[in-house]
Amino acid sequence: MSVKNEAVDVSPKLETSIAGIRFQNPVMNASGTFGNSGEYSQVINLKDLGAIVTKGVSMVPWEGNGTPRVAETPSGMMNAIGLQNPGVEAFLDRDLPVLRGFGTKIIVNICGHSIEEYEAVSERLSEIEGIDMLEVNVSCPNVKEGGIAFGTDPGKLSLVTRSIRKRTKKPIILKLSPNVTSIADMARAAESEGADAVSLINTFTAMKIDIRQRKFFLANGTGGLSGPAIHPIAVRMVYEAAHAVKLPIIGMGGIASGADAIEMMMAGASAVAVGMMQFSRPSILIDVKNQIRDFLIDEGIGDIREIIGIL
Amino acid sequence: MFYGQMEIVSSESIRKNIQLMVLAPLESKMEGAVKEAGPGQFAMLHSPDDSRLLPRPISIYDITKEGFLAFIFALKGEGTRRLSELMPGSRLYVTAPLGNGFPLEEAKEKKRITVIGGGLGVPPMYFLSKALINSGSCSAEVPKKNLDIVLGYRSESELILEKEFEGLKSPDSLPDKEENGTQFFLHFASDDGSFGSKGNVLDLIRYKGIESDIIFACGPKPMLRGIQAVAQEKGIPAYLSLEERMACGVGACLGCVVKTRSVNEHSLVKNVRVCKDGPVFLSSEVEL
Ligand SMILES: Cc1cc2nc3c(=O)[nH]c(=O)nc-3n(C[C@H](O)[C@H](O)[C@H](O)COP(=O)(O)OP(=O)(O)OC[C@H]3O[C@@H](n4cnc5c(N)ncnc54)[C@H](O)[C@@H]3O)c2cc1C
Ligand SMILES: Cc1cc2nc3c(=O)[nH]c(=O)nc-3n(C[C@H](O)[C@H](O)[C@H](O)COP(=O)(O)O)c2cc1C
Ligand code: FES
Repeated sequence: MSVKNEAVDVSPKLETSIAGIRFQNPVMNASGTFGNSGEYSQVINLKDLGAIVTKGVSMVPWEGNGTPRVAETPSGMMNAIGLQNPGVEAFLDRDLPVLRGFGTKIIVNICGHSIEEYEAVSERLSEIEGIDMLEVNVSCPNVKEGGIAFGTDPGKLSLVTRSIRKRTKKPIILKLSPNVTSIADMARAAESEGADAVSLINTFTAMKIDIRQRKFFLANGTGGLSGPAIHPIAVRMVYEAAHAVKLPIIGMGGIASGADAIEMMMAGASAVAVGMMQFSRPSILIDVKNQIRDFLIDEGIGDIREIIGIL
Repeated sequence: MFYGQMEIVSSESIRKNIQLMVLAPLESKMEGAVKEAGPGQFAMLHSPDDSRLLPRPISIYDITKEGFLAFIFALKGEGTRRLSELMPGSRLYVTAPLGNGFPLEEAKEKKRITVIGGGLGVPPMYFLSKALINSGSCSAEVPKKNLDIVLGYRSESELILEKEFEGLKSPDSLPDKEENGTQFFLHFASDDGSFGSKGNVLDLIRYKGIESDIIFACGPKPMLRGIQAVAQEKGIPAYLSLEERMACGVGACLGCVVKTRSVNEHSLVKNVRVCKDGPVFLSSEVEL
């Protein structure tokens, strides 16, 4: 082997692909933890991310829940934002051009209160240039109608998937809720109706009580638990989903390091997303990407794809 | 906004359960954080503890003459307690400066400025007062100004920074005081009357007949509500610094919203983010 080739070999390939879309590396942010207009662009170079994933976008502006909306919990946090967002038109006019400027792939996370709203948003985004994929949030535990109601019943999940599939040309990712008995059944429901990928997990429905005031800590009563506290459960669920369907998986849930990301990928994820740890360590996405690369070098692995789903 | 390491140059208890912590930039980018920081802005102090993962929002109390960021915070729960246990020489990740800060320019054309701090809302008002006195906020149109600084506490045992505020009077700490023509008066109130006037800051303002063209305030919500009512009644602008539970501190998570009276042009709903759109808001715009 020539010296030149050895030098090339030093840098392992991080490229990964999901439903035919190529990502320069497998690291992206999780929806809702990264803003929608480059809030972290002063800390990291967003062009170095595998993709940018937006906050949930609905057809019309959503007000969200009352406050407090967030609470710290051991090695994690709870949130009940309630999918506040300015609606799809403001997203397209104002946020998308900013995000496109960063020069990486863009995944738009969508949400709805009803099948009709999911349909309307996916149709509106169907032909918009610069959007690479849609991620369908059927798993938000913090909105009364829609959201999780579609994500915890395989029949309803099939219905949403089928409806959206008909309305959009973009590849669709179904984002699964962990608040189910069988994640495998949910992944199968998405696959059978034409989803191009699944992402998991969203947050666990949880509760925190202020014992002095004798009331719920969050205004919403319950909230979604995320962060390192849920990581081992997320790995198990990614593994189960990977063994149930052929669809590519974006794995998330408590990723705090390159090692956590590698674990997720060995369990079957083709890419990973980092959520709440973004708040803890604003540089985390780049740290995770670099740690993945270092791990591959250390283990003498030339291509990240070699480890996907090896278990 | 900058994120990087800073070094604790000093950390001491100035009252029971109140910590004064001074941080020096370790990485050169954090010098930018010091340079950009203004009164009313805050920092996120990132926890050194892996089980408490959310950073703590703390207002910038002062920028020292060495170019360090100073903070004063109460030991409320475990997170602030752990921060207070860090020894000088330790390193800490910090995101700063965050938030909009007090709009100093709004004070330019105003003759009578009132600065109000209550309890742990006092520290950021030191930075603001210093800036108002120092920055030559007087103009050709308003060559002379009155600045009333009103500080409220529960009782004498909770007094903080009274000496530092007194120190603002000393001409050597502010050599240009004479020229920029801001005359200022310091007033203290305590709920139990153990220090200064008995009662809250609004009682004091009423009792002493302090008139204002503009108010800047930080403190507990009931105090801010009272100021909101006074400002509305008198038709004067009051800029209030608010607190809300935060996760990101940079406008990304929408965790920290406060209700607004009309639809906000960014969110398109009646919500604004305390961390990014605030923490300082015009009292007529928000629901408290
Ligand atoms: C913009 C802003 C500026 C602030 N400036 C100061 C300051 O200069 N000095 C000072 O003493 N305090 C200040 N606070 C309040 C301070 O952030 C809280 O007291 C602190 O976060 C409590 O943390 P803990 O670990 O002691 O409590 P814990 O109860 O263990 O905290 C648990 C979680 O709740 C959050 N939290 C708890 N109390 C509050 C609160 N009152 N406001 C916001 N979040 C809270 C914490 O950040 C953490 O995420 C400020 C708050 C905000 C929003
Ligand atoms: C503050 C916050 C807001 C979120 N908003 C959304 C959202 O709008 N849409 C969505 O699909 N998931 C949302 N999520 C879930 C995350 O994308 C992710 O699935 C979950 O937090 C697990 O990852 P983590 O443990 O790394 O945070 C949100 C999570 C947090 C903490
Ligand atoms: S704390 Fe995240 S938006 Fe304000």
